[in-house]
Amino acid sequence: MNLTQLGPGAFALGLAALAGGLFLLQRLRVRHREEVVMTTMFWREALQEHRARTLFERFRHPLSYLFALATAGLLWLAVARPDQARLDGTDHVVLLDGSAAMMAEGRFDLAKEAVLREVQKLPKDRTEVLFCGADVRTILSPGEDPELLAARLDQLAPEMAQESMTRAIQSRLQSGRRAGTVQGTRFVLAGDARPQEMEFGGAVQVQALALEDAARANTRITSLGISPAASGDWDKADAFICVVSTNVAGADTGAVSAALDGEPVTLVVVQEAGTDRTFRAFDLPLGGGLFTVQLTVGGALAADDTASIQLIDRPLIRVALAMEQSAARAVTRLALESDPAVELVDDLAQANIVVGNAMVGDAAIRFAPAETQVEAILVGYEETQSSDVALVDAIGELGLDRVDAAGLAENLGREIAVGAVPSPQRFVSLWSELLNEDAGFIKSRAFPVLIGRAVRWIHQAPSIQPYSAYGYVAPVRLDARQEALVMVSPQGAPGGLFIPGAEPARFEAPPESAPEGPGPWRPYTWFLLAALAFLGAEWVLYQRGRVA
Amino acid sequence: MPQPVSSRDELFDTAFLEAAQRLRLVARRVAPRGRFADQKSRDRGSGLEFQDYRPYSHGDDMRAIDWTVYQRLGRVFVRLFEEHEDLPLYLLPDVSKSAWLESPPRAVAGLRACLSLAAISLGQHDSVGVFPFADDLTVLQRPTSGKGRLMELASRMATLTEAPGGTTDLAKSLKRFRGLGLREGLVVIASDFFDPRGLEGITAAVRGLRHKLLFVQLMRPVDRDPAANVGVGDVRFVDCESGDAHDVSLTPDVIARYQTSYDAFGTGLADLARSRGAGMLALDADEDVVPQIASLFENGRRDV
Repeated sequence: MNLTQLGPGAFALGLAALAGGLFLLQRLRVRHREEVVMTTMFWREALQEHRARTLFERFRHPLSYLFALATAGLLWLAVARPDQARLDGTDHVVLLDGSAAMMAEGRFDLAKEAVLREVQKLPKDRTEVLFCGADVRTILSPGEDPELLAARLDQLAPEMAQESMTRAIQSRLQSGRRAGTVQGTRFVLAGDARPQEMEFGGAVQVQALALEDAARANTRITSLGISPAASGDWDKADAFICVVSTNVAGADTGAVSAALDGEPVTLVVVQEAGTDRTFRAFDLPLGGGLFTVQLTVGGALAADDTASIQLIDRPLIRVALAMEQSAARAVTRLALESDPAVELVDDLAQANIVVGNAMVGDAAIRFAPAETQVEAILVGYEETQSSDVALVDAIGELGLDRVDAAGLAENLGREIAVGAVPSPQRFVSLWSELLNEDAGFIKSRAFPVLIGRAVRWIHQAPSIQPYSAYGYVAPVRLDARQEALVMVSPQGAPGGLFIPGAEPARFEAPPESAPEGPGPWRPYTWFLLAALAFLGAEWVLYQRGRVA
Repeated sequence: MPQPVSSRDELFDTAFLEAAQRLRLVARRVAPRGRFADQKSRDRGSGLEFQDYRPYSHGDDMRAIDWTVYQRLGRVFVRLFEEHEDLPLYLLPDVSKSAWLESPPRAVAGLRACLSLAAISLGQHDSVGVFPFADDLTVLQRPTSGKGRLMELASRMATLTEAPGGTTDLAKSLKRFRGLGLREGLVVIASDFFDPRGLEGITAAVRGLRHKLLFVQLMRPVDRDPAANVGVGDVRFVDCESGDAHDVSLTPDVIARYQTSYDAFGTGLADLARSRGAGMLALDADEDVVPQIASLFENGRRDV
């Protein structure tokens, strides 16, 4: 147990002194009840027979002694003030964001209030508060009275500087490693900035405080997400928007307007729960435009009344056929026409991808005689990749695992192999014999899948960024590691949330603050009550003549 | 604090008197002097009840000669008669501080016992004197007789409740009683007999007392079982008269030794009474006095 006022040695020494003192008092003084009687003649005779002179008498009334010792011990323990919050042995470092991002109206005040609330819950000798402005300054050291913090915070203001939380965390971790105390450190972020990508080891936690003023009514956009269009159009996307309101008495708090590059977009309410609403916009053209959402009735905090996301530019893939009229051409054309990502064009010059014979120089999907190509399916990959990785990627992305290679081999009487070669441009080359009807390939389900995936793989169309939550940069890549989950911004630099030990491919909601402290019912309060209970119990037993 | 009996009527009511009147106190031996009453005397004289004959001697009263016997036998005999004389009753109630300690004080039971015995004796024309004692003996009422004296006696006894006495000194009190030179009678000592000098002191006190004795021991059940009132734990017992204190840890063992000591005292007191030919009555101060006094007598008479 950790004691805030006394060390373990002092506590034990005090307790031993109490026990010894009470023991001596118990032996030296016997509490008598006085009774006036008619005569003591018989008591005198009764005691004279057995009164002996002894150096030490037996210890009497052990129950009374135990009651006294328990009461004194509990009081002594209360004096020592054990603190539950110290049991986890964690150092708490609260970082107040003083960067330029906090200059928005009201943000820095909210952050200061959040810091004050958080510090009240934490053990004072394991908590420090750092101001992360142009430089990092300590505004509350471990052991200092939290009452000093409010006055010091009043003297601070955000500065025209980038975030310095990263620097503060790095410095703190380095000093902790030197002192051997890095284990059990919790960083609490109070502000809008987020530290850069870092690696942690052991029990290091990073959590962000919510800066919303829950006492005031506020409506805010909490989620803005993009998904492939439900209509199936390749060059379109659907958007969903979540709006949450704390204004329980509010009117239409879910009124939202949206626009794509300034052009209004119709939103449809797809879900309502109280004052919370989810909207959806359908078939947004993926032309690289900016999709913006705005609350028509804002809340107490303006910063969360708008959200936007940059849509990718992903038009239809123009594909041209350069094949001789044949059954294979017809089937190929049919496969391409049914692909929602493809727009068939006649002009080879306008095509993104040409599908044709190997003789066609620009064909990205080509059909070559078997005698000119060892492998039945040959994939050309970027020279920056390794062949093994490229082959594995190709098999997965082209759907080659769906090809009945054994059937083809039997039909063609030849081994069906897959190969990969480096190439300046991506391509997929198939045996032209695979297009023969007796090969059975063009009639299989694998053929149109292969064609369609080959088109996409070769074209390397950008994928849709899934969603963006308030306060966080939209990720484009999730990198799962053993030690930490790192979410990297599209810029590859600042932004992201570090959650050590979390499962990959999962976006965490804004973390909550540290759990509520015990409040007034700290351990020493219970010790005082227990001492009082012991006194009461001893009094009751004394009245009933059970203890001396 | 003692509860003083506030009036004579509380000590001595009509029902109590009527019950007491049914008792007769008969003395086996009486003193030679005094007025004639209903008590039988050792002496044979010219009393009222014929007892025997003896030959005439020179100087005998001629009126006592039984001429019928002379005619029959030709010899002169005189009649002998039993001579009844009174048995003075000397009441010595204990009015020391210990007798007034409790509530109700056992001194009240002692006074009632004394009053009931006084009623009996006065009704039989015996004289009654009251000599309360504590650390010394005082004369509340010199021996007096007559049934009409009863109320006067009660009134005087009631005054004893107004000034509870000091310590108990039976030896000194009886010594003073001997010094009064009273004619032999029945001395009734109504006390708890908790003399600081114990049985030895009591024995020495009654030694040389030529009167007949009746010990009325005033007691209560808690005398033998102190734990019933006190409970357990460490107790300091303080003697109400001497102020002596004894610290005691009440355990079953200690209580057993106390009871042994108490029983030995009671046995010793009874042996003392037996050796002196005295009567002994253990009077429960919590119970009615008259029925307990009646237990002394059989068939309305009590041979003392």
